[in-house]
Amino acid sequence: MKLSSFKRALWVFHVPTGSCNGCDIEIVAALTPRYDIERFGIRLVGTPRHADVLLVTGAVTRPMAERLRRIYEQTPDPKAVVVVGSCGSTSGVFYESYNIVGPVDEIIPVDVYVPGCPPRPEAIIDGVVKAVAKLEKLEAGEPA
Amino acid sequence: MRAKDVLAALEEALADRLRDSEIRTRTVGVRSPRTIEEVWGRIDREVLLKAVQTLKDLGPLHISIISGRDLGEEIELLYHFTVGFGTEDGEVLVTLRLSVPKSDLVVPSLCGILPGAQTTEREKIEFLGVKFEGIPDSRHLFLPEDMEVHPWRVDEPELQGLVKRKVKWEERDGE
Amino acid sequence: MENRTFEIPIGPVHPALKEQIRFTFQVEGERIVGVDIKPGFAHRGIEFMGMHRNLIQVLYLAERICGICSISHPIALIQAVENAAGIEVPPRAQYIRVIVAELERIHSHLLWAGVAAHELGFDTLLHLTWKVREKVLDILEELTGNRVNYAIPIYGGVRRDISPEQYPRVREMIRYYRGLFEELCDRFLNDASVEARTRDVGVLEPEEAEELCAVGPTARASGLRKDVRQDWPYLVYGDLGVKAITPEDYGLETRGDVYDRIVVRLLEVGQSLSIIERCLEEMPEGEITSIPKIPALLAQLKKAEGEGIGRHEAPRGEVIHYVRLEAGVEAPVVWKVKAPTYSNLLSWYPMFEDQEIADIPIVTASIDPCICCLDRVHIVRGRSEQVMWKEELLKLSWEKTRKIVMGNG
Ligand code: SF4
Repeated sequence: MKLSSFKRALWVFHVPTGSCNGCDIEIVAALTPRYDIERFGIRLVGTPRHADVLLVTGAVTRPMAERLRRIYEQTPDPKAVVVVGSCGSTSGVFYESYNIVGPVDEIIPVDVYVPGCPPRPEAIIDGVVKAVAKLEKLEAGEPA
Repeated sequence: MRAKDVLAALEEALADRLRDSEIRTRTVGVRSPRTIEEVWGRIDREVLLKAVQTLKDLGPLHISIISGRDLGEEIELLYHFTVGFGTEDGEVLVTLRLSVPKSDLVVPSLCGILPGAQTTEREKIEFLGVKFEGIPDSRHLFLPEDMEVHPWRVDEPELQGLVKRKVKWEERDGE
Repeated sequence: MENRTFEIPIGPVHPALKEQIRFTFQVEGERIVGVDIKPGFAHRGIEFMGMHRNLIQVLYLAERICGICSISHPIALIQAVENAAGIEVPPRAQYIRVIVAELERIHSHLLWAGVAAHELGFDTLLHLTWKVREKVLDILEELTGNRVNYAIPIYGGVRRDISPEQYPRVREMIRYYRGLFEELCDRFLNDASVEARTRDVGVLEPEEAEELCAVGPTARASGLRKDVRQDWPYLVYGDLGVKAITPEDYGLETRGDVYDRIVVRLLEVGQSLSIIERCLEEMPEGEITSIPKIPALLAQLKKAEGEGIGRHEAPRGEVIHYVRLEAGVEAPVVWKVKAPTYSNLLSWYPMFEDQEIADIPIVTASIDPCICCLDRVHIVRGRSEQVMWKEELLKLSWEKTRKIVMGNG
């Protein structure tokens, strides 16, 4: 897919669900001048109600599971979910604890996994772009 | 502040309620090696407040953390303090150890002397089920309010039920 | 007219601590009259998991307590275990640990400065600081192989050496930041709007800081000369003669407000540069670990019996780990972790008192709990519930800055 095929700016909401912060700072780093994700029209928004894409980090703790589900439901369709980081994708190092119910795909449907602990900002941008491809298919009425 | 001064003050105040006390030293540094000192001792819970007051009179007192352990019949609490920050090499780490039987899990709260102890005391309430007498706020801090199990206790059968053993992708791997 | 108090819960989406957090503010009009703090949403039970794994696995877990302090927790843990098991550390390894720890401090303080600027509505400054922050991340990546979560310390030493070719690159970074330092200080400290938003906001008196056991830059900005590197010199910090920094060192009178916290953190960036420079000069040649083979290390740790404490001055303050090992058991039987924000939690109470709602973002950020903090706010007015998102709260903060700037002409 070529970048010129972007139909519109993409708004992203970031949900940490018990991450170690490593992924979260890399997401912010992706916004700042060196990586500058905003030049593609991708920007972080402050509420899921405005978002096209959810960026989820973390292994999902017990109290966050319900909130994650709620945030997912608040996001308008069509939407895509990108999991950033190993612990969100597979639980990573956070296994066998009384307070962890994840990984993310056991709570909400996930479209793109970005592995790495943490992934580099380039990888995060790549993940978001993959989510765009899915969204555009959905909008065109094709199966994702 | 030196460790021997701290130990002397504790010994004077607590007499035989302070047991197994010792100074542990460690050499650090490469070019100009120096020793850093730690005071360790076991006390009874009846003299805890007195001990803390003694430490506070010595110099600025900081509580780092209370750590704890379930020993079966009793719970062991370790209070980690530091005395006398502010000068180079002038801080002494003091660890006071005390055991409380599970039948009577009550310890006096330090909040009256050292308000900064509240966070760590609240944590012990939820993780070990210890009660602190006189703590201004005893709600759960880190765990959900309705979670009744104490994760660091060994006698918590329900805890195992909460622990998730496998994630789905592992099951898929086994197929 | 009778004053009515409203409640505003904020959170809990807040990745700052080991735990995520929720604030419930009581407000009268714009004034905050009370606050209740509930962390625990990101509580992963790390200590519990650690007590069921072998010590090498625990090390990786410790690294992931916080992605920003990802060497501070391992440094405290390995010191605790080395004390308990009586493992020696070669001198060169001690220097390498210090270098990486100070690089981390630089990256963390710059990260914080950018976030603070963002909370004030000064996004240009956010982008500027994060742009220059990439330099130290490049060096970290060069020395350790990763931008975050470096996996450098191991029991008995470090896992990677710093090669002679890398020295000049680290020195080049030091020169780069020295050249920028004055400009950075100028942008933050001589800016009228930054000053107007941070002076006398979120004040923590020295007595309060001492009683509430505040640590790190939060305590130092209130005038307490409290720094583990100075008070309890571990590793080679004693040789390097590190001194705690307070605003007085910048020729200012200490007021304990948000502005002072900016001053302290910026000065500490300069301090870390000097520490790294000295380490590069003084670092002796030699081994980097005393037990290079992991199976041998594991076997020795399994035999070990004893207890130990490790402390470290992380970018946000004191980290302390207590470990108890028993012979024949691979996992530590007790592992207790204390992160700096844990100690600073209580300092929020006096800081918030009598502040405005628009000051919530900057006061929250001022103890450096971490980045993206407040996620949403519910304002409950009587029966009707109105949802207020992070964006609106930030907007309030930004508007306040704008008003001040306009007011100044
Ligand atoms: S994937 Fe790794 S870096 Fe990212 S949040 Fe999880 S533990 Fe932290």
